[in-house]
Amino acid sequence: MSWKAACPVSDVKQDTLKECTIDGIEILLANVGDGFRAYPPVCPHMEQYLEGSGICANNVMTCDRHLWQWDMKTGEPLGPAEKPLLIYQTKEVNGQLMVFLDEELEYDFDDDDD
Amino acid sequence: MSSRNHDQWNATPDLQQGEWVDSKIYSDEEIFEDELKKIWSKTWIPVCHESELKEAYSFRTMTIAREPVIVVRGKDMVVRAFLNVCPHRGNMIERRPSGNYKRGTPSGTPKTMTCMFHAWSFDMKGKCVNISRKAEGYQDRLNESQVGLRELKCEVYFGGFVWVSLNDDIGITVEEFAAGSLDVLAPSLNEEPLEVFHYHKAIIPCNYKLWHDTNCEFYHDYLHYHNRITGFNEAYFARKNSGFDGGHINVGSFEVQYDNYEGSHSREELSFPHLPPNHWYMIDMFPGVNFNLRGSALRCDLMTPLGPNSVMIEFRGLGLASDSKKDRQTRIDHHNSIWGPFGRNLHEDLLAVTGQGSSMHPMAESRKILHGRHENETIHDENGMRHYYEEWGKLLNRSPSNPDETFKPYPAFKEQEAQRAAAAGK
Amino acid sequence: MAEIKHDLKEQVRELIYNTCIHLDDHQWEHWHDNCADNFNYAIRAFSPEVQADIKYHGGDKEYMQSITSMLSKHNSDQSPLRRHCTVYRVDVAADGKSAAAISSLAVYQTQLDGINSHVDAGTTSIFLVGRYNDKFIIDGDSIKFEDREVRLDTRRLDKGTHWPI
Repeated sequence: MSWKAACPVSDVKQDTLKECTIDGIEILLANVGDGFRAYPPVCPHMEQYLEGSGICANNVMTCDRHLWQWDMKTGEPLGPAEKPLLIYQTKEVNGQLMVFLDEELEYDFDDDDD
Repeated sequence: MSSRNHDQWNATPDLQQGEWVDSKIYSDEEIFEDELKKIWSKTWIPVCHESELKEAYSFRTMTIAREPVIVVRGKDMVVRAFLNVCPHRGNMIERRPSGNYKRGTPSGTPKTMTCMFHAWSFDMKGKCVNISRKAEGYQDRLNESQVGLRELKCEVYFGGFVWVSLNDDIGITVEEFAAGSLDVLAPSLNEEPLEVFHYHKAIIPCNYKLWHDTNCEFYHDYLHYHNRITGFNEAYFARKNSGFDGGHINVGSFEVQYDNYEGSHSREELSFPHLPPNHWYMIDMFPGVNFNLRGSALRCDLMTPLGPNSVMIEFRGLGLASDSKKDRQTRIDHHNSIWGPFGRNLHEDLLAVTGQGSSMHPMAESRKILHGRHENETIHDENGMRHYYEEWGKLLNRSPSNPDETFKPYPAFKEQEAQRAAAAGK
Repeated sequence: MAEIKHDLKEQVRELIYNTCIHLDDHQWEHWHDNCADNFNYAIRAFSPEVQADIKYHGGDKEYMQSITSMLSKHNSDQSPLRRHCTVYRVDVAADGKSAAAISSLAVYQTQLDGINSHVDAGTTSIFLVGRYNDKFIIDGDSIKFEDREVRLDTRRLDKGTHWPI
């Protein structure tokens, strides 16, 4: 439970999504212009990996499968999305992007029956 | 008079019921459709091996009686089978021969089978987990729970082979279906996991039953040079050909005399669990499955009938998953030298059946196909074929020697012999 | 040095092409003569069906010699095979003592007695497609095959054949 280094801030460019793994937890990083965000790596709809399927423009992320969308700054669902993006706390320290890791943020996919 | 005119050629042979069949059963379109409907759609069909589906979310596709089928391994590692058909508008959901759903396909998401067309998704248990824009288009008139996949009966049995049936009412397990025919090899093949090391396919212009007949008899060792010069000894002729309920047969072991054959090395060292080295077993299951274990390699032929004169045969070779590299290479080389597509025997067997296929076209003058050899049910006896066609006749209610007539049960051979002797004595 | 290398590359190509003629025409002895004593031969393909690399055939020089010497004893499809081969690439080692080549391969079959000669004979079709991956030993003037892998794309082999590819 603490602040962990993810990567140099210069690695996370606007309108791109970058995955990294910290202590075995996969995190998705984004640049929202006036700061950064970190999310779980998958879409809350059906677990699609957003690093490959997320399209970012004007701080709106769209998953290219079923076109769910979110405000990247707040995680608020837009368009057909029915669930928000969960967001980790982040800050910049000496050019490093830091993520506050307590417990892994996970969506409830109810796949016990899978 | 040694050659024959039309009437003589077409006359009923002076042989007993079961000792000959009419070539029409190998060429008639109506009989073929009958077979798909009453046999291939009703029974247990082995479709692949579990080693082709190693991980959770892996899949294999195949067809049974023209139905596209997909077999998937779930998160729980259980293997399930479904019609590979999207309940939406009938597209084939998966077109690849194999793969894994851990990562999604281009229209799909991880851990689902997704139809590329409209992105309807299904989990590994066949439940529909996504209908795109359902509320907008179907309001409350259609739900995921109403459009699950068509699940098919599926078992993993006998050395890890995957069996599927299109028949929900089959009422028997694979074990019951096999009726003991597999028992001779079951302890060896169930001891530890097997693995497929060989796969190739052939689409052959002949009826599937002609290939099965070849796998049921060894009189055709005359076809194979090395079999002739190494095989015909006392031990060879002592092998018993046994029939089981359901039309299956198997042939007992004998020790192969490899040293007589130039260019092959004895398989003495390498075998399967519980099996003495250099032994040989053959199992031919109704309607068209062959397991052939010779010393170090297990061969399996699986057939997909495509038409009365066309069959796809998938040839597999298997060893132990635990094989060392060296042992595996030995099995591969032994298997190939005889049963590979460039090996000694297989090419010759296929030449023979394609010749039969050419001859048995629809509307041909009837060929009376002789299955009449009797040698105390040993290796050159043709009781294997008689046993098969008796089952065939029952299931289709057709007489194999006069397929437009209904089936009459075969009297026992000894009974027929007694009748024949009595008639001759008159 | 570059000239010698170029010359060696030419010789390797020539050997590959001459071998195609030898194999097409069943001049097995010529083929064996051009194989080193430690020659190894294999026909392989990857099967996406069972997700494994399959070895369809192969063995050492002695094994391949025994195969070709026994051909007359066996029932075989006599429909001629015709290779069409293009050498894509030859690499000669810096010391000039070995080389490797990658060639494209298509093998056609013209029916003769395979099934029903009256109807089928004379019909040509593609039998196999793939590549030759070859390794050579160079010893002065002599270039010999050390290893040949016939890497097939084709897995539907129908009747197959008794003849080395």
